[in-house]
Amino acid sequence: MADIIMPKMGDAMTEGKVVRWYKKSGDVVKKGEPLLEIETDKVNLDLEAEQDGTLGNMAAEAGQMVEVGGVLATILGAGEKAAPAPPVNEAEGASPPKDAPARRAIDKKDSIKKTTGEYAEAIDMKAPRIDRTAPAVNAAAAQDDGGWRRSSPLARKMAREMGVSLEQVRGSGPGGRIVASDIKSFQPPTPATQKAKAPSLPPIVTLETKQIPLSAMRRTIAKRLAESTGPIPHFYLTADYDVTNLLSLREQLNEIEGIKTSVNDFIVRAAALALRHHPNVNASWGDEAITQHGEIHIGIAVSTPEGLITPVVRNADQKSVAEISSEVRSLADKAKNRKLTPNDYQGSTFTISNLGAWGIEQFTAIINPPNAAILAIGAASAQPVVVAREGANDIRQIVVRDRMKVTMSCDHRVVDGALGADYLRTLRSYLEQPVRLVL
Amino acid sequence: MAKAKEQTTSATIDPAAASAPEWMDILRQMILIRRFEEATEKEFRKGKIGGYLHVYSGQEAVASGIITAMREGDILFTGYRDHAHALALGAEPRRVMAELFGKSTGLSKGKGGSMHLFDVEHGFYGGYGIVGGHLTLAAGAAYALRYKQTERIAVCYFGDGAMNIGSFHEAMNMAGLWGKAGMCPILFIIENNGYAMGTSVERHSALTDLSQRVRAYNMPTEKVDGQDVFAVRGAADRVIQQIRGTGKPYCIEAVTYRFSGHGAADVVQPYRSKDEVEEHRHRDPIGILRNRLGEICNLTDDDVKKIEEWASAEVAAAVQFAEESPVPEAEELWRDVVAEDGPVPESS
Amino acid sequence: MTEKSYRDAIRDAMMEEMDRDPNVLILGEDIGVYEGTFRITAGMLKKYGPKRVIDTPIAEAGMAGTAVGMAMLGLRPIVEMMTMNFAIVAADQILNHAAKVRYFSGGQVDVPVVIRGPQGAGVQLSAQHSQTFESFYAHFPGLKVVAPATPADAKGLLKTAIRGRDPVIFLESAALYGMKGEVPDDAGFTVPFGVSRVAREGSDVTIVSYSRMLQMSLIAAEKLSQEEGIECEVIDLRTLRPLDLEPAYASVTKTHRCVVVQEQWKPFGAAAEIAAGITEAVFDELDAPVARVTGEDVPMPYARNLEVLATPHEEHVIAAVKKVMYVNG
Repeated sequence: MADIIMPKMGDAMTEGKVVRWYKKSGDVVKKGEPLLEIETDKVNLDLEAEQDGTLGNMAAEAGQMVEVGGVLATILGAGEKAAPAPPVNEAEGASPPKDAPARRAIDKKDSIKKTTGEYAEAIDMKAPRIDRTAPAVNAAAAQDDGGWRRSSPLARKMAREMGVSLEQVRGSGPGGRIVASDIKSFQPPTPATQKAKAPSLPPIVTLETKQIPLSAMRRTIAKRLAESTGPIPHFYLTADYDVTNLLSLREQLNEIEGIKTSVNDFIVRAAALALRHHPNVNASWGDEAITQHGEIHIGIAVSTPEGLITPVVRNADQKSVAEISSEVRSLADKAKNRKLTPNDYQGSTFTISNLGAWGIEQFTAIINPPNAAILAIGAASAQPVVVAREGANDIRQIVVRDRMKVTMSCDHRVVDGALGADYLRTLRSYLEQPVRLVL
Repeated sequence: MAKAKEQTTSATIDPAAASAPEWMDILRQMILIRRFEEATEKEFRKGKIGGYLHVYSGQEAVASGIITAMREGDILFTGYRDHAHALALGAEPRRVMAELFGKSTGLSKGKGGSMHLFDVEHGFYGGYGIVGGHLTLAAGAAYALRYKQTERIAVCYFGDGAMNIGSFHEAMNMAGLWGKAGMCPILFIIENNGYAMGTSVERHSALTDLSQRVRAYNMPTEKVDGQDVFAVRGAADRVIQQIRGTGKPYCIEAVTYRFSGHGAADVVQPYRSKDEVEEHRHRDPIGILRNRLGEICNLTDDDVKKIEEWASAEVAAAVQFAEESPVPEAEELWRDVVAEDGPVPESS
Repeated sequence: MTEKSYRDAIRDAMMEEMDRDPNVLILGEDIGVYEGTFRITAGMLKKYGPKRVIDTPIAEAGMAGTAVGMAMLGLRPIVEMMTMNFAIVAADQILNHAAKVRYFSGGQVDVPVVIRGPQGAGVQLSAQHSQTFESFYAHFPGLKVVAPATPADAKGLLKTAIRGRDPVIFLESAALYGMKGEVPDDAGFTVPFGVSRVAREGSDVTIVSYSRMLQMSLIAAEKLSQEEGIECEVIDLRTLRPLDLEPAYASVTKTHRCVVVQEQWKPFGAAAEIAAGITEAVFDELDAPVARVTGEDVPMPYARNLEVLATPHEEHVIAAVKKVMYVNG
């Protein structure tokens, strides 16, 4: 018995085609007699019988592609019986099925696989690729790299555009590289995780007037809180600020001829600047939506013989302390002389009430609708404070500092506790590092 | 198949080859080439010519003897010692000089220099700087001439040193092969000046009979006295006619001598003695031609002096032209790298 | 449109151009009587005769050099290199002559010669017969370098090469010869040089490739889409010189990540040039370093398992895509 196989006729040949059979099953054949014609990449040629016998087990039809080494038929010697034909190992994707056009896309792939048969093998082997030329990433170096934050060019571009400081962002890429997704998912850190030392500000967000639709949760919170505590559900946050530097700065500023500022003028500017970082505080409750205001207008509570009125410093975030100072003085004069027009006292987005001049240390103010918050400013006073000695962190000492308590009343429908706290933290940066106010 | 054989042409005057007035033209051409090359060496020393400079002095009869036998439409390829071939084909001396000066008015717009003179209009398909590299190009060009059913032929010069590089053998074999079908009308000229740079034939070739190496490729050869323009021209007339008729290649080995160094910078020449150079100067091809013309047509010293003066003036004018010509514009840097592409032509 | 193999598309391009222009001829080793090692030239000798289908001796320098001479005299020769590995023997004719004569003649001659042949690894031909040469030739001004990935491009680009005025190195992937695809029947169909195409659209990662690796990249892209939900945009460069990276720049601007895939060795390869181009042009758009998938930096071994290890595969492309996506696994 002798198998007739598809022979390899060229170095790149992986399969051949049966063109036609000259003999049929059961035919008696003689050694050297042509049995069939095959077609390869290079040539068409006849395969001849290698021995006398009877042709059997014909496993490939005319037109069929057969892998190199595949059995095409068998020649049986006298007395030999035909074994059941083994399934022919047809070359992948080779034989043209009836529905060939419909399978075109697959055919294409198959035909590549067919001609570059090593792929399937490679995938099986899952050859590991070691990149010997790749630079080794030093993880330790990545951690402490002298302040330089590894970041992708795109991440840097996005950070620039969004006003995000890379220092605040934790990189998730190799070696701590900050990548685009880190910037996208960046949230300003909460106070708990914030290191007290060298506080940095959350990003300044581009202001725009927009409606934030009420979420179901927000509606529920609003409803519940209002039911419990009246139309505006208030809550209160108090912060104690070190205003030693602020007072000193004010003194320096007032030494300049023609300038006479009050502490409150600084607070107005600080409050306004802080709102730029937290536009969701510079907002108003509505039944259908919360409105974030595109501009920052600070109302200032002024007492008059008739009662309280809140004239407004418009676009306070864009004005210098000196400008605010002269505007507030003029508004206060108008108020006392009853010369305020509606334009002077309408449209505030945030309000400040300062009873420091009355020696009030701390108080709570009632929100001035439709604002979402109001600041109640107490009097600054000298206080003993425990601090670390300069240059020796482990030695503590008591020093005298000027402190000031500020209480923020928030409309809980708009401002949640953490948000109010964030705002007060930002305000701290401005009040305790007052140089930021004159930048 | 006829066996390739070698002929040796003796230095006899063949009056049928060229008339007396034409010999006078050849003398003028050879003197012009000599003056030109002397000027290039001078300008090289002055720093006006950069790069490599390979001068032809001593070999003039090999260029003039063959090239004056070429017809309009015939083409020529050679190596880097190529000024004489360009001039003999009719390139303007001032444009050749301008090329050496790296000026925009040069044959190749100042982008080729001494080694890459080109003047396609006059059939000059270039000087090439890689020893032996151009031989294959010339064989293919010859095929193209016959493919286009013209009677034009190609002439390809190369030195004895080029015969050791692979492309020589590939070119010779393919020319011999194509010649069997009459498809390679090319005349190869071995300019055997005895040295491949500084290595003598004895030191660089296992077989010192260079023509014999060509015959191995079924190509007929003959050896001529390359200092005698009569011999060179006589052979060229006969052989070129044969090549034109048969489309088969032929090779002439012209035994010659270069008076100057390999390159202009080749001042010290430890590979040959001063005596050897002096000895060969006695066989100056210009002197040989001048003497013969004295015998044939009573050429006088006065006549020669006049030619010398004319040639000197021509060369001086060429130098002045080169000197005064502008350098190439910066834009020229990016031109001719590839063709200025338009849309793909529908038909050519 | 007709479905044709890459091999037949190449033959069709040559025969259509030979029918169209009597100045087109082809020379190479065993292309006539033998009908070509890869049977690209089957039937051509019979049709065009021995003056236009020239069987040469085994003399690559001779073939390339004579073709350059023919081209300078106005013919449009095509040189078939049995494999591009052998063309190295003709480096002087190609690099010092074909690429330079236009320039050093000051534009006095055209050199419309096409040097084409198969290259690439995959069938155990070991170190001297498995190389790829695109970066080698693309380094030289004066040459054009083509590496088609589909039958249609093979035909259209080869016709452009034959009709052009400059020497073209036309690199065929031996492994793609049997690949089939739709090819326009129009005899006027050509594909211009220097115009890359988007072979697959996607939004997550840009894969830049050409020739066989382009097909492999497409398979990897499908797999990534189905198994990982990662959508790759795949750019087919088609020609390495001239090199059109504009679609790659536009794509990277969209995806911010890029993988370049080549079969050849990594050092000084085409991928290095492409990656550098992308870094120069769209640096600020990158969210990860451009990754390269290349062959291993070793001469091609003979043993099957080692050869598989030495050549790039889909898995490597997939790994590189995940790497630039910062996805583990």
